[in-house]
Amino acid sequence: MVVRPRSAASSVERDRKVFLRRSRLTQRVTVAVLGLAIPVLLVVSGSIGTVEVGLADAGRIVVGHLAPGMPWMSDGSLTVLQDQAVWQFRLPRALLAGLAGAGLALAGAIMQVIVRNPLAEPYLLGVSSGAGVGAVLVITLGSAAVGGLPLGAAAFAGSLVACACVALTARHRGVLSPTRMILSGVALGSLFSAVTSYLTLTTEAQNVFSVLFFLLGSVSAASMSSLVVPAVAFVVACAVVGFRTRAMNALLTGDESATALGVDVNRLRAVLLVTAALLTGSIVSVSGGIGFVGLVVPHVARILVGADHRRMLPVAVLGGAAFLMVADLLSRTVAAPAEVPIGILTAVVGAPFFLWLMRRDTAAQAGLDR
Amino acid sequence: MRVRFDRVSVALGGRDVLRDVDVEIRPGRFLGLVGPNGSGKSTLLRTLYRAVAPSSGRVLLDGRDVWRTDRREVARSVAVMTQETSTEFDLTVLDAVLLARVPFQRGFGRDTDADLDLAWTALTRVGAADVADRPIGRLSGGQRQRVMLARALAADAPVLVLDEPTNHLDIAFQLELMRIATDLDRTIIAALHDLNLAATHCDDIAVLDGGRLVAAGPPAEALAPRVVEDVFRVAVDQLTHPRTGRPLLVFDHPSGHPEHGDEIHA
Repeated sequence: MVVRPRSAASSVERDRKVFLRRSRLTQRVTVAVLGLAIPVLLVVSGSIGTVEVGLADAGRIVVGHLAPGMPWMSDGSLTVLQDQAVWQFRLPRALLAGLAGAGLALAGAIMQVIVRNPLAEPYLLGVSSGAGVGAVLVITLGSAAVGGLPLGAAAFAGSLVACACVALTARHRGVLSPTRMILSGVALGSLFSAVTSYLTLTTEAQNVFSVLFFLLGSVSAASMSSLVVPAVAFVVACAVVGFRTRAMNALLTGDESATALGVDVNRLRAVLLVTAALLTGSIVSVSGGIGFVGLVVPHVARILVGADHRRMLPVAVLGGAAFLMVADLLSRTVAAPAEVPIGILTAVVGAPFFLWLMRRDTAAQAGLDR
Repeated sequence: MRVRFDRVSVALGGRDVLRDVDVEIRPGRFLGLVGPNGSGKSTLLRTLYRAVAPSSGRVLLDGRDVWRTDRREVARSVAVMTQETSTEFDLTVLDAVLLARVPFQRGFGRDTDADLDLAWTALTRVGAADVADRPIGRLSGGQRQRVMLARALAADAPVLVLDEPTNHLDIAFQLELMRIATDLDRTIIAALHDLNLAATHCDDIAVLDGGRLVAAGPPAEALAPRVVEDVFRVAVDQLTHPRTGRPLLVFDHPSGHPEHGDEIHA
């Protein structure tokens, strides 16, 4: 290490400017590219499927619904079938895919900082296995078994019950310790999975397919109204996290130094935990347990722009959205007219990409060599 | 800023870690906190930056109880160089130093030019400006300590807490670090293991043993052979540094020291 003499101050100043510009540029370009990709993906999703709709027409239908009084909506150039296919089926599922991807990536980033562990993911606290129990109860025994709740609500309730159990068993003398959270999440998660497996094995054969479809995750049942709850949860989560990005950065360096920086570590952990649980629960109840996104997308964002949450969260959220939208497009095209569950595609597409990224030099800089 | 530990006691898990510790550090003074492992040095510091609450007694900053003051406000007054830092997710060196500004800001906002200036000045001062863009986990232990010191400096707070700051450091940077600290016009409290380093650089020394304050005062007094032999269970001679005139301690095994042996037989 060189101790710079004071006369070299101007060169330090120059180094500093070059360095700052470089690190900001990568982040801006990434955010801009992803920000442009999302509307493009929406239009492409709108035009692909059994009912033929051109790219331009798909774009016109979307714009026509958003802005009133567009001439092409009433001049007969678009059929009712085309309009329905785009606005009632393709767009909701593309939006749900984007919303689920953004939300799961955000929840994953939150969980990773709460337990300060790179293997953490949104389902760490039993959210998906709890939702699984709720959903499978409805599928195998009917709504009456869970007090008349529909499948989505039962799944949401299951995820919250599971998360509360994990938080309560992990709490010790008022402190949520990361290691206890991970271990009780794993233990209770396998307990809930056992319940799900038992219910699945003992039910009639035709139900098994629905169960698997839920557990693997799917956005095919999306409607505009099913988007409301996860959308609200996502906006609230963004607001909660937005005010705490610096505190989250401090938490990365350890509880002790975060405390010394004036962060109420226990409270921050509790707030973030509730946020991540509600966000994940609301997504899982609509789209099932889509895996991989929440674990890997935050790491990709860190490799690209560094661990500072102010830079990596926007990249993770936009990247998660774009990634699941691509996965959804593939899930309904690769084996058309049959549909491959999106959870399978995220892993098939995502795993090779992530492994390639992980082996590059920039990944070593992001701390993946340990 | 004046720091006062007012009859502070801490009990952790039913064990008394500190008992009635009463010390005051006047503004601008440098207090060295010494004592054997487990004597309560770190715990005493932790009561100041609100990581451990005293079971009785108060910790005062200019007369205000830190445990009745907003924690962010305390963090703006007290900068801490903690012993360990987690590097599970790597921040770059510059980002790690910029964390010092966390108590001053909220939310998504960009770091201001003033923040960047403070961070950069601190990095330059500890000689780590050339590794500003490196991930902190890839630094050597000594380089990481430099960065931790830079973070504490970048807070620009009136009180500086150093918890065993010279761990992992070679002798040159140990001296450099103490020089940087003594040059600052701030109230400093440092837990130190090296008694000579403490004797040479601190204005005052406080000696802890088993959670109790056993001596406090100027180095020559607080580190009198009688105290050091009692607390650290070693034989010691206090000499005077030929050039600085500061006290200099020379140690020996308790049994291998003829005078000490005489004392026992006497």
